[in-house]
Amino acid sequence: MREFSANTQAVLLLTAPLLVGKQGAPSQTLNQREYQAIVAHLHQDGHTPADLIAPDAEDILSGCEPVIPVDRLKALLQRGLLLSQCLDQWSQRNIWVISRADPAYPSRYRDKLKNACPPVLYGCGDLSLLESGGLAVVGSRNANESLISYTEGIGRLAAESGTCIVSGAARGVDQAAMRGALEGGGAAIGILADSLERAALQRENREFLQDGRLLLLSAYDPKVGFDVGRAMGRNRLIYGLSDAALVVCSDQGKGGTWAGAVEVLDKLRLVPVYVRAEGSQTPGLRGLIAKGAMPFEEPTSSEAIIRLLQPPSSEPNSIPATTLPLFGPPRADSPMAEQSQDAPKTSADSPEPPQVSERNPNGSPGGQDDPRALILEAVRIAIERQLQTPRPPSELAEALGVREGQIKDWLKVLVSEGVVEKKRGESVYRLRRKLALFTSPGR
Amino acid sequence: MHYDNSLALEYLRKGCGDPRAQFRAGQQEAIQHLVAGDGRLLVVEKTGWGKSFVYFIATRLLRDQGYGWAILVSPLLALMRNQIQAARRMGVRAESINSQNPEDHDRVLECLQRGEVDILLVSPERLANAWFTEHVLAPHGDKVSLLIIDEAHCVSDWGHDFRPHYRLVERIIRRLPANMRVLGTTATANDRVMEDLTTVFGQGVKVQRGDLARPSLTLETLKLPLKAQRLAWLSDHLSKLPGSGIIYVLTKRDAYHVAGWLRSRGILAEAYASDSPDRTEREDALLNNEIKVLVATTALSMGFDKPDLGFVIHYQRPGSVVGYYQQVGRAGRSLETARGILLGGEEDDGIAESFISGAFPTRTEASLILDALEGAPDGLSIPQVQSAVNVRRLRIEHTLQLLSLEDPAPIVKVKSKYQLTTTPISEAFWDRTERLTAIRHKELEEMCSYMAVPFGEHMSYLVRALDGNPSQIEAPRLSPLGHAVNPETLAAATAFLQGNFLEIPPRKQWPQGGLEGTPLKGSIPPNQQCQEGRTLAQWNDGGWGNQVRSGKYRDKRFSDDLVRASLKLLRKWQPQPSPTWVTCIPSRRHPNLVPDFAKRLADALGLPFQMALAKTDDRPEQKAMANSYMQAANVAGSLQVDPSQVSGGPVLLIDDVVDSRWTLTIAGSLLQQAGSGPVWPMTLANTSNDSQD
Repeated sequence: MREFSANTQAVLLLTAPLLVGKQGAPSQTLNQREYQAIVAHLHQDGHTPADLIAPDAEDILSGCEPVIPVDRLKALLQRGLLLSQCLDQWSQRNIWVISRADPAYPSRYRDKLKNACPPVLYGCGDLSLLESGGLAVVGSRNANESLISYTEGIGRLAAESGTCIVSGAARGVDQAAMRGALEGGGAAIGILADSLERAALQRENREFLQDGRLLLLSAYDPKVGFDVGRAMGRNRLIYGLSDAALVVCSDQGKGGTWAGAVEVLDKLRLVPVYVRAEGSQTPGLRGLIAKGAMPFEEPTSSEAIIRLLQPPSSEPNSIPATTLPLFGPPRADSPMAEQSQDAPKTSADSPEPPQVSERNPNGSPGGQDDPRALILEAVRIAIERQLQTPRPPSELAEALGVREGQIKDWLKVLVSEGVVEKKRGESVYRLRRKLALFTSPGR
Repeated sequence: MHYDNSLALEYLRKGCGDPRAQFRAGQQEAIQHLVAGDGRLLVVEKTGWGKSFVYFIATRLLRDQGYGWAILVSPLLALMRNQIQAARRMGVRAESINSQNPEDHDRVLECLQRGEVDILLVSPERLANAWFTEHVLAPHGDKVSLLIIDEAHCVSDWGHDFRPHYRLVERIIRRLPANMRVLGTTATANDRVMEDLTTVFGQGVKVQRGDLARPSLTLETLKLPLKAQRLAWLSDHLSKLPGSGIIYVLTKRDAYHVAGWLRSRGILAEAYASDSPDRTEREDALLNNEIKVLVATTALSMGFDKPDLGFVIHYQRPGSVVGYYQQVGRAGRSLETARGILLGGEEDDGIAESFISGAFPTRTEASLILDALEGAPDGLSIPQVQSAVNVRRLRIEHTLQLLSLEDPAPIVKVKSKYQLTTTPISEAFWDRTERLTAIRHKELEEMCSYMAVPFGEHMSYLVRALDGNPSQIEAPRLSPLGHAVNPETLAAATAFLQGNFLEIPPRKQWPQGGLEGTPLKGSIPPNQQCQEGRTLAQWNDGGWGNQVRSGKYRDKRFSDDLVRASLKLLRKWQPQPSPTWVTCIPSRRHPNLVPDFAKRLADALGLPFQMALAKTDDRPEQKAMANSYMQAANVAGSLQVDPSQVSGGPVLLIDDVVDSRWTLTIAGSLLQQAGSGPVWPMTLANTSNDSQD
């Protein structure tokens, strides 16, 4: 049985419509800004969203009054039965949910979208694809046959080069890119604006979902239908999960593809944007070049795709494709304060508190070669050994021969990773039993 | 959250209509924990302790402080009417949405809309119902402040009742956020069950456990192998038993025929099964002591509240101690003395085995069904699955239901169709199936040992098996009744069983979706349907069944006794308009068996026998066809009518064995199309086994 973390439960209660049927209960869910505000507020007092649904939440809740009226919060948090029904319906269809408080939340979103990253993500398929990065391919729903076959070719080359295709899973170009990649033996991520519940059952997706090569992802309730606003809002999620983007075709000055690309070029600067250079140049693509997109000659080899993902010297915003193992060696930058029991208060005066709040100040960038990660790995082994019986930090400090402050910093990291825990009202830390939280579906 | 004990007491007194009533031990603590405390609670108290006061008063107190409504999940709701009355006395607006009150559903929805429902009573199956989800949970599920799970032991694999939908209940509880109040109640839970429940309800759950023993109850076990012996025993002893009581039987058919027998012996008895008409009236008749005994299947079990129930008799041995105690423990709650008697019969082992082996699909059944779904990207409805695989409809439904209750589920129901998900069926499912089957066998052994316990030690055996404390148990207050039966009663009971003729209701519809390759579709025109027929015996029922079996398989000839029994049946039956000729179902495998019998019967009746039907080709035996669609398809086209042999009058249509009724239905339709009058089917035995309740 799939477990859902208390933080995910709390975030869903606060922000999600929780649709179990066609007619939902009219809940006043928190919008992105309100949610940021409440997380920031909780963080100031060292709390996380999960604390709002703990049995003794009364005081914490009343403390939220200045930010969001308590009655509104209570009404949202009272939706427990609805939540459990939703989780059940989703889980039946092999749909998982993660929140920004979960370590599995894609680091690209955290890093690139910052405050705009969706509080929860719904998905179906292998979670580890979330960190694979790859090439975003976007374009029109009504593309002609030659564009479709061009796009399928891109998908196949991506598959050959081991690059994941990120796309909107819409008719036309989106699906052509994904089809090329999947049929070529590669991987694809489809970021949906609606109807995840239906897509998760579609027969043509089934085999690829089971193989762990297809990931369907949505920031919207799995039951919601098509909506222009959501379709537009989804654009940045496509770019944000990739390392580079290729626009196959676009109208000039109108349409979703144009709007999405322009938003990235003008404002968000999430990844380098390329446009198809082969064949007849349309006004749309020329327009995007004028806004800073780079032309991309028809790739003839998988190396060309890999080069596409290399950061061009002129594009400081791009992020190299790294495939960080999700559960392998520790990632020192993965912990989040939302998960931590007693997060530091450094964010109080930060101009963007929620962003800070989800990052651990002790965290540092870098993978397994990072010296800090190596130290942490050693520390983890030592502390786990010490905590065969629960101990307070002072005893641990003595046993390991380091300052108590240092121990506390390490414990924070381990707490946020879910390795150790400190129960409310206790002074000791203890080992946590391993949760089944991140078991991938279909295995 | 504030808890006001004096207010709670005031509600209690209003509820029981006694201004001096006091809380029973534990009630007040339970209410307080739910309202003011952490809110997760498991209460294990014997029936009659007053669990309903706990959840009704807690609901009232929560509502007083502006909290949302409560949901009570209980396997049996119709019987909670008296509890609902008590709830209303303390101002708790209790409503129910169940299969028996469809006329109330719209009104209850309106009340929910206006916030005028305090507690809604539903079955676990209802929670999985799409209509309920759409109309109740989706719009109103956001305001539920308390979830109550009655008979919570069903959540555990070790609970005696295997109710597939408690799997759903389990998952819902596990996935509730920590701030949701949950109460689980049960009367019977051994240590294993409690261990499971504690895990499901979460580490913070408080457990409250009361004493199990019931000193008023005198328990006894009697081995009476033959049904006739048990019927005779009941007839001889019922009048000596205190007050009114219940006889539990395992099948619907038993419920009707035991009640029929007792009535024929002048005892006021009614049958009670899931398909009984006037269930409410029958419950009331028992509640008000207007009848001596209600002969009931497990459809009457949990939630039935009658403090002065004088006795509980089991006509067959139940499958587990937990289940047995749950039922027998209903007797004598407010009485000084009461009896719990278990009659063991020769058929017990077979029934128990079929319950156990029928609880789960086989690997073959599951893979046949999943393969059929694999070939259908848009999913299949139940009738579509039926036409695709040769598996019994009940087994198909059961398999689909169990698989869709898995988590994650290999299949999911979308509208009326089942679809594959991305989850393959897991080995864990089969492991669990095996584990549960092993548990059931162990429980069965424990129950078999109970049968052999000497008089005077039954209560301590049960309490020990339930992990209770047997040290304070008193000796039984009544003396044993013993095995003795009057030989005359025994003879009467034997005759009654042989006269236990069963009806063959006519089919009125062709299989859903029609039969492929035939024009047979939709309703059967009334002038082509059969009349309501009769069958002489149930294949395995101790009456004429044995003779039918040896005639068919050993002697290759049905005995003259069976002819005489059939004549007796016809005299009693008196079909009108009375048949003027006789025909029978042909067989290429046994060309003479049935015609020979039909001819002798026709001679005895003084009617002409005409072989009006013929088999046109060799088909597999009808009994190899597992479901209705397959059976209908197997007969259709292989039967032919010879119009020259058809008379215009009403006809008696004979066959040896009836199961799906398709052979009779198609023969009846052909005969009438060829000009025959009304068709009266009659068979020697019935092998259909759809009477488990």
